[in-house]
Amino acid sequence: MSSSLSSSSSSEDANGNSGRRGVGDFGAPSLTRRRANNEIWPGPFVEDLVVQVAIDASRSFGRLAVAAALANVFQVCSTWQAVSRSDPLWHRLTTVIWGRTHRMHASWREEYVYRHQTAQNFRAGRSFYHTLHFDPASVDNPDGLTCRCLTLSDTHLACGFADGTVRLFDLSTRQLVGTFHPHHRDRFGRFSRAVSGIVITDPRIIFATLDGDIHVAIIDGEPLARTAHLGNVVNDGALVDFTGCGRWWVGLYAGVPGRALHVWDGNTEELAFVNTNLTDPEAVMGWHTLTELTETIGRVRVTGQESAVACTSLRYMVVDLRNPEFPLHDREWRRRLTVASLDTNGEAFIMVDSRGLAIVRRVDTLEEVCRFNTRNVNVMGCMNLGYALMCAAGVVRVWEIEHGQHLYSLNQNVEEVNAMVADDRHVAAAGSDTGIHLWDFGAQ
Amino acid sequence: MGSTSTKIKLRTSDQKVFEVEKAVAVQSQTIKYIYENGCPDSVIHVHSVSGDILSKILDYCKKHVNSAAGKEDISPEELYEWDANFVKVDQNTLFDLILAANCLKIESLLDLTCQTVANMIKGKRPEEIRTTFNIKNDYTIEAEEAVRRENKWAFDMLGGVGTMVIEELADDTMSKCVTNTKSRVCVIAANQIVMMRSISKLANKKSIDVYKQPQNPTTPRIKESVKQRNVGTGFIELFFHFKCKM
Repeated sequence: MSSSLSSSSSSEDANGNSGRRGVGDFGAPSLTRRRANNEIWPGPFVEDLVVQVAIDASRSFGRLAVAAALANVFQVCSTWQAVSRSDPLWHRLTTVIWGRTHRMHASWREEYVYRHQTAQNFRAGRSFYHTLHFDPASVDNPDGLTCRCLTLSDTHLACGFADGTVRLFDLSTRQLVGTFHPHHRDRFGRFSRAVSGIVITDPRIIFATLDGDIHVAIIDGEPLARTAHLGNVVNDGALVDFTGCGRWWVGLYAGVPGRALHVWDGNTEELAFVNTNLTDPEAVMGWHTLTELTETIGRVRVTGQESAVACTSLRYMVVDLRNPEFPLHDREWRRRLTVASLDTNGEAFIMVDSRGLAIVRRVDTLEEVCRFNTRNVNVMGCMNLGYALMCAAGVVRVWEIEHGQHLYSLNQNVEEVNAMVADDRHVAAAGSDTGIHLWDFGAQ
Repeated sequence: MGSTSTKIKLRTSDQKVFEVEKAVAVQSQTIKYIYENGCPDSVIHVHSVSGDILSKILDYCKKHVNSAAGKEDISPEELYEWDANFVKVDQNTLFDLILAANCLKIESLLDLTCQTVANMIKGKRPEEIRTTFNIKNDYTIEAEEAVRRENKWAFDMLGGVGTMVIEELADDTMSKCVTNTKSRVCVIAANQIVMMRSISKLANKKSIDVYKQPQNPTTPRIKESVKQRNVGTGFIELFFHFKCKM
């Protein structure tokens, strides 16, 4: 119980710091002596204020409008401007707005400006286009020319081929810097050694083949990869998709009921979980993938929140990788889903259905973020933090995913695309020709 | 020394003494630290807080402690509303609350006041923010220009095409820009985005007269008339004529 002495509204403080002032006198300006309030703002408070203004602007107008809102705050007075010199403040802003936790530039402010300008380039369609090449003469098996999957990191692009080879390109020089092979072993079919998915966790590169083997190589190291996990096709079926982040590896299988999702601990390389019947309806098709080219049966992608989204054409699931036994969401869809359109960014995922309708949803709540019409059923899709790219009939079209507005199409045609990937700076696509298409939206 | 009716005495800068329950007082990390590291019987001096402000702050702490402990039957929505009313105070009181919350280290009150100030800032230009909070513009002309240049990158919306920058939005300003038919036109005046127009909305009109509703009484009412002219494959020239009314 607070027992205060009388606090009348016009108290005269004897020698307190608050000085002379009139309190609560809105309607009587002559009684109010307001002082200029430059000095009173505490530094940490202004920093928190800047972060809050950034979050509000991002929610109301989108990420690209944040910088303008901050510029208004900094132009108010020099006390407020002073906090823009605080690099930890820009660290907070870069993490909150752009989702970056490590910086590639000299300071966090430069990192923020870079991410902002790169996102603007995505918005405006400004990019540099390159094709990445490797020597086709070095490939004896014609399947080795078919690229099946692509993975991007901040520094490299990894391409997995139908004969089990993984080729690694350096993104700054665009040169081939590594070629990796799995150990030889008996094959269960023509495509049993085809690469299903790649994970890049510097300095390791981890890739899985359709027969369920998981191989680990070192980026600057030997071409022959170590077998970290020996697959068992009879027990588990075919490993149709493989993905992961630093902490977890996730594999999607088809062929044996009840063993659709496998989760490994990426650090110990141990199997942590096997379960779900997501791909049971596709079991027969799963076996066919070992011997012939089929349509995509299932896809799995990880998010930034240690969860994974997996789908087939009939159903999708969201699992928390730390607790996979109890899926967060498990939904069937009335219309068939285009499996090759599934992709995630840090917090949301996108899927296209059989009418060409693309919907972006938040992973945790399934709340719809936006929707748009791709006007095509057979699309291959990918997305990054602010944009979705859909490839159909050789044309890649770009939408922003804050409101679902169509922006533009990329100028280059991509014939028969088998794989496509995007992050916040690059977009890559691979078809049946020997060139891999790369678009660089990075700010110069 | 942990009885629930332990009281702590606080003396403010204007020599007022408050006696409060320990659970309420230790919402302030500063008071908590002093209490746990000093003699618990003496009076704690809160130098930079006046009686009025401390009284309000103690009300806030008490409300939050009681609601968390279940002593008061109040739903999260009702608490949220109570908080919203708590910060409906005049400028000076708000500043004093911020200073006091900062000095006393009360996290939740700092978050609340921070959000309040952020809401008051939303959508305002620098000069409007200064007016709202009675902040003096202490920039020299050169320094202000330097800050504008430093933040120029934030306003590069469409990279030249489709962006129109007007330095001084006075009465009878005319400006033109060339843009492609698929984009938007973004009009920037004095480093603030004044308006954005989607070209498709202008599409079939030769000229339109638009009155922009003022957001707050100090901004001028802007009448813009837009004429457009085809200048070649996919590009049009937009001719803006602004008339401002104070």
